[in-house]
Amino acid sequence: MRDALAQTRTPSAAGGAAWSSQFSVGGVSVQLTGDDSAAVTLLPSLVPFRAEIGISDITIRVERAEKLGPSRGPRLFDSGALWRLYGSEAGFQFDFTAPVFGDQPYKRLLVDSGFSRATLQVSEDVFATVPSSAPLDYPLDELLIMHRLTQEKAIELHSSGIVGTDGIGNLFVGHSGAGKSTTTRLWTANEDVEVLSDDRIIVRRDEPQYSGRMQMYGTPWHGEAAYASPGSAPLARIFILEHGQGNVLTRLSPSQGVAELFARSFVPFHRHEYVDSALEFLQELVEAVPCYHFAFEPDQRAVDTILNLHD
Amino acid sequence: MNQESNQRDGKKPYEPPQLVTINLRPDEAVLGHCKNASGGGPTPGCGIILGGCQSLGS
Repeated sequence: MRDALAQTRTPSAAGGAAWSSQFSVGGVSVQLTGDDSAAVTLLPSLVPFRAEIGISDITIRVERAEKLGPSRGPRLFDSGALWRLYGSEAGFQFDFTAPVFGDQPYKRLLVDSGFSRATLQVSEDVFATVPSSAPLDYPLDELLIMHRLTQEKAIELHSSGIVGTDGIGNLFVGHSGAGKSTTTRLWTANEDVEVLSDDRIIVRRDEPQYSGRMQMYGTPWHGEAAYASPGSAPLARIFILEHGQGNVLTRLSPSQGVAELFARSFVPFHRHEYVDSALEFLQELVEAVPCYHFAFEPDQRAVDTILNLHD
Repeated sequence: MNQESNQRDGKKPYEPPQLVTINLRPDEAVLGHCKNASGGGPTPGCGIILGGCQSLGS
């Protein structure tokens, strides 16, 4: 499915590209440019995140390629299935493969080491095979944002973000199966809340000239409950979810909090600098926001336990 | 300084460090697979169409 509203035709003087589209996720703005509307098509999941921004944090020039040859740079990381990472002269090269296109990549992102300028080469085979495809699809969109966050004071967490009527947010963090979607359903059943996401939340520190507080942002990468909002809210508390008995809250020490959050974060593991950056930010996060372990039972009492919590 | 004198001074008693094991989920963390196979979220652009999708749930 394509959304014509998500695309704008721009003067060809802008880098020779006639078409562009923009969106913003977690405070990171992205601009796609290309020679035709198909090149800048946004996935339906990204359309709510569309934004008009003067200068984007990341600019991606989308190009069609007849064939993408084998990679020449050193292999830095292999996800095991959808993508591989190589070193390149300018920075990094992400190659994406799929069985339908054989062993050769059908898509390649060349990006600088600061994750600010990129060229996305998409095989003509993709447009021929799947005319409705969007060049910046999953997991490339999430990978790009996740890598960019290493350059900023921010992190993506496997979590559900729920905002109360007072505008204050609670973050429920957990691996798959820990109860994020269940928690989201419990809160939306009886409370007047806004859900920013039921599976992926980006947390960043607000600019000092504003509040300097920790802020949580919704993302397009939702879970089973399918909540994905471009909104944001100040973050008041963090809960590490686990199915248990009795709805027991246990306050975590900063070191426990960092360890538990790191295990549920999306961080590029292929460079120690990125891991260091993530750990430093998590340290700031747990010093700024109370962090609890929450062994919960899937009924209204779990919600009441949080509502009655006084730090 | 022993525990008794610590308590007398109002300090927290010494607790030996404990080793806590926290499990990582690298298969989820590296975004190597589709998020879910239900057709929601990013799935349409992922491997389902291209034949390579393996869902890991959410």
